[in-house]
Amino acid sequence: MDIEEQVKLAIRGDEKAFEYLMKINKEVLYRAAFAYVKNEQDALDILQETVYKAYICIDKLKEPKYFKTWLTRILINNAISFKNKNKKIINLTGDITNGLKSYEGNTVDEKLDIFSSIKKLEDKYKTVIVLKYFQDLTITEISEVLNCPSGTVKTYLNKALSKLRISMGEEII
Amino acid sequence: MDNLENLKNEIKIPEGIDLAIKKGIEKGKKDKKFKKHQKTYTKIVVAAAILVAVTSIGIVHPDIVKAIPGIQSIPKLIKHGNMGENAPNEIKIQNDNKVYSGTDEVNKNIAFKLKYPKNIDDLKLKLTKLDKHTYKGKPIDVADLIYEGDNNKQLVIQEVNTDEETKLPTDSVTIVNLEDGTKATVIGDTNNIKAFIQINFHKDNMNITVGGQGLGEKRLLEIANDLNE
Repeated sequence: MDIEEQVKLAIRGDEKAFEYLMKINKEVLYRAAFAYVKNEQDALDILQETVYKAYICIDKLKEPKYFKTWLTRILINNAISFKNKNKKIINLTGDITNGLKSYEGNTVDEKLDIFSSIKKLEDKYKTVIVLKYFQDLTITEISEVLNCPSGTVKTYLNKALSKLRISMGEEII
Repeated sequence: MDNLENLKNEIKIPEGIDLAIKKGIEKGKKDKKFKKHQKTYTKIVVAAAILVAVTSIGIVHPDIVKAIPGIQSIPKLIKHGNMGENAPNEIKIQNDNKVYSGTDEVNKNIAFKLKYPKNIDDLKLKLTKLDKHTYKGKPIDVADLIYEGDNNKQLVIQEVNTDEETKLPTDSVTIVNLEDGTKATVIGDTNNIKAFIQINFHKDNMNITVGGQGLGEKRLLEIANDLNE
């Protein structure tokens, strides 16, 4: 069935439709959450909170076609809240390599560098990177999520990439 | 740039992802259920609080509660049922030879203060206009009075306590102007029936005499001077 139809059903309270929508979006959501927190357990917590908030508020979604945008915005808000909440907590035991597959092209160190560099970015740049490269959203979709013009998104994206290049070196990015 | 694009695929999807989604949905279900109950509970509490407040204010300051739109009709219904409300100025008993004047509205009560000549007790005379020609009155605790207008000229005296009615024959009821036109007398045929009523109009007051075998001792009632109030 068409996704928009499923969204309409979910808005009307169909639990199976909602579960289906979460199922098809779970991986994208998880990856975006992971890009924010770089920790499997925290990413799962953010995902769970996102699913919970989406379930509570889905009846308030007016336009089914904006479901993905709406869901992404919930995730981003949750991730930022989570990050702010845990700002003062220093994780001594976490190991982000747990959340990464072995990848022939890059060493684990390089992957850690990229994540660390993303982590150091300002929220607005980090969000654009996550939405673009971890959620696979288009510039237009990102502008809808962030509620800002496409031009601004492009600027943020360029600046974010420049900062990452500086941070990691041209040869990696 | 490729690195960034590939990095997405480097994030492995944990086994617990389905559990996280399940937990999120379960938490949502619980919360929704709780909020639904909470809304109902809040509505009940608010309704109860309003009821208590209105009742309390109603006991202390009944006039304030009467001023609330919609609530005003409740005490009216309790007090008067479906028969209307007191409207002392709707129909007036004049000092001249007219017995009744005013509107033709039915189901209106008019109340007058009566008192025994010796000022024993204050009494109320309630006259209810049942239709164009019929008035039902409660002059004293002895009897109800129904006067059907000039067309029928019938007088009915009804015992309050027993609800028994005594109807005077048409030809036995008269309204006459006596002396200077300030008196009217309604007399039943005491030979054939067992009751009579006499109403005397004076300049400042009206005397009503109710008597007869069925009504016990003869009583004279005097309407106070404030007839037109």
